[in-house]
Amino acid sequence: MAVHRRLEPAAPWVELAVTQEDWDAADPELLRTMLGQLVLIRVFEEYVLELAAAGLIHGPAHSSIGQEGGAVGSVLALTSADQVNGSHRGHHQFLAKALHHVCPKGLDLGAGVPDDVRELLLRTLAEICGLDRGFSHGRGGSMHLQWKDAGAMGTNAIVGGGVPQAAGFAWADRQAGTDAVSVTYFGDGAINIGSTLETFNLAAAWSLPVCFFVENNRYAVSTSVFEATCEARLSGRGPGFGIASWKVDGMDPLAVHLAMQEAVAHMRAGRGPTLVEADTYRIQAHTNADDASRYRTEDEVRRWVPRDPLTRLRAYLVDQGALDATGDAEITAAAEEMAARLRTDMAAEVTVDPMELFEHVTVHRSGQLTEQRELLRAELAADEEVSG
Amino acid sequence: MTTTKMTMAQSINAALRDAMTADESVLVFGEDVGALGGVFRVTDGLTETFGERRCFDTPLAESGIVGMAIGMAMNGMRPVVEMQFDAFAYPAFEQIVSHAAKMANRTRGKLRVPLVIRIPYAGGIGGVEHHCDSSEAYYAHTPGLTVLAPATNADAYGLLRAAIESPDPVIFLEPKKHYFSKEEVDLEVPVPPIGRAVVRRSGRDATLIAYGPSVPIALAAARQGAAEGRDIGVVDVRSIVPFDDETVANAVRATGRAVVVAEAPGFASVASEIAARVTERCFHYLEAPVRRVTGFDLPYPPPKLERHFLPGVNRILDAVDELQWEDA
Repeated sequence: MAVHRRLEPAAPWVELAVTQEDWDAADPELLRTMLGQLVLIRVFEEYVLELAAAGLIHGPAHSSIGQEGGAVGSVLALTSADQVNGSHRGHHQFLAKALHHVCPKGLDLGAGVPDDVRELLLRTLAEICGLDRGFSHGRGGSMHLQWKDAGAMGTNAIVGGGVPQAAGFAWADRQAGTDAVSVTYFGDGAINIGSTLETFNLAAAWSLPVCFFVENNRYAVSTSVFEATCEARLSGRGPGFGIASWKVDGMDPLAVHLAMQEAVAHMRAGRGPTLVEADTYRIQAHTNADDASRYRTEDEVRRWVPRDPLTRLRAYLVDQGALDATGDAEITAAAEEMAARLRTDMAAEVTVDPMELFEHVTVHRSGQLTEQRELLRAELAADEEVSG
Repeated sequence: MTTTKMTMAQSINAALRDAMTADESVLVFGEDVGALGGVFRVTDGLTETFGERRCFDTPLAESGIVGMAIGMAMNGMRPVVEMQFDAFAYPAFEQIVSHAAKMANRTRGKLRVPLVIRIPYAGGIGGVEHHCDSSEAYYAHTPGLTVLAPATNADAYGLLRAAIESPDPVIFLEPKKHYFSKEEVDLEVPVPPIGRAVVRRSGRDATLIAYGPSVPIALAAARQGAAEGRDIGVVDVRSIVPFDDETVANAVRATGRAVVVAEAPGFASVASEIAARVTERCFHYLEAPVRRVTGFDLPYPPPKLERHFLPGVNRILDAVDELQWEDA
């Protein structure tokens, strides 16, 4: 009779859960910074939804509301030298990384919103609205947010499209002899795409310091992760490739932070790539054009709402006496004042010169592009004459 | 001028070697390019000379290879990746078209992708389906990509050096049937500019326009035409994108008759684009409509039948004969 020996993958697969002791041991300043980031990103995302409803965002706006805990918890384990890229639903990923770059020592909203944070939020919103003050002069839009100085190398409209590029960042860091790591944020949809799985293998084969951060929000547009794959615990993919993998409650920023600290230590020690699966939930519909009632129930959403990372962190801080009613009101007031200023500042926006279309396609400009540019220039001059 | 007799594979190897020596950020990787030196031996000895950090093998993962190369390029490296065969590059199409080609534009030049994708392309080697595609139109159609197709060993060297120096992505199409053809090459000449065609043979009666593996066929047709009493010129496009309208149009204006020669299936092809551009620019000089001699609109045929598929001297000269000659 055949003998069966149980085989274990060489790489570990663990679920990390925090205890009361972890909460008690957490640095109060870290928790204040988490709260500050969560509040700002939430207010920002609410404003984006408002603009989308008013038709002021061209193309889809993918809301990150409910998922901010994963990005905030993980980014705070990084430095500006660590590069990240992200997904189509990536405002929170970008903002968390950029906020941490602007405020590396922490962000306490009780002290008001710093000017460079206002500037960051304004430029991000301008980018999302396709306006010139954006980081890519509005060309990248909602789904391509980049700011290289902050190590934010670009969110990406193509599902799974940015994943291999993050392995390239890690390769470049290793070649340069630094201990920097890269993180690529993607979702449960992207984990079934070839480029993602190819990159798991490349990164593990070459022991690259890249973290695959899976925001498992349970839906790829309308397709449930339980329909899309047999093993919906997506961190289970890692060990098959030899990648050390963590599963963590993505609605709990502290749990994510602790898991990410372990993953970053693993990578900085030269032990190869990591995978962190954050269980999370997309509280909003897929986009402003979506109708989520066609594929999920109100009940299901209601069950997730109490797990909202912002609500939980705030409740903990109040419970611990780290945040009193006055402090909480100050933070709320700071966020509301910031949002009001953002509204005023956005109104002063200027539009992009259409001739700018032809810049930056490539340095090797073709004859047809030169001709087409002149055609547009003549058309604009003619329009000017008519209207002027 | 010191010239050396070398094959196209050796010329490309020399270009890689010289670029890697000149610039530490130049890296070469792809499937089997290390110890084996590539299936065509183009990267022969590079790992030995530059070490495994500069020239290395990858798993079979074209999308991953190109995507990683983009990430490296965004951080200042200059990767040169090899796709083993033309059709093997298609899994990487998404990374090439949606990311490499668009990054500089999308970020208004803040993130650039100095990446070269080398693709052994086209047929004529008795290969099979997936190993003989002329895939240039897919890339040429995508704004943001520069597409080069050298026909001579000297251009293979020079244009690859230019491609590696480019701050933006380049698709470098190597006519694989010429990998082992020997020619005199001068490695000391300055790097040629991207975007310039060259007149390989001047003629007064008709102009053949070709690139890559079709240039030697066009030259053979011109020689045969001369024996039959027609003075036929040949323009080598070299740079498909950007396209050198001026050189091509000047050559056609001088003759009033033109045939475009290319191996790729003709429908919606680079040959069609060239014919349209020549017609738009030279209409009043033309004595006859511009003709195209291309591969048939078929998947690449099996080895024993490829000679019927590929443009040959007779088919080219037959097309020239149909250019409404007054004495006909």
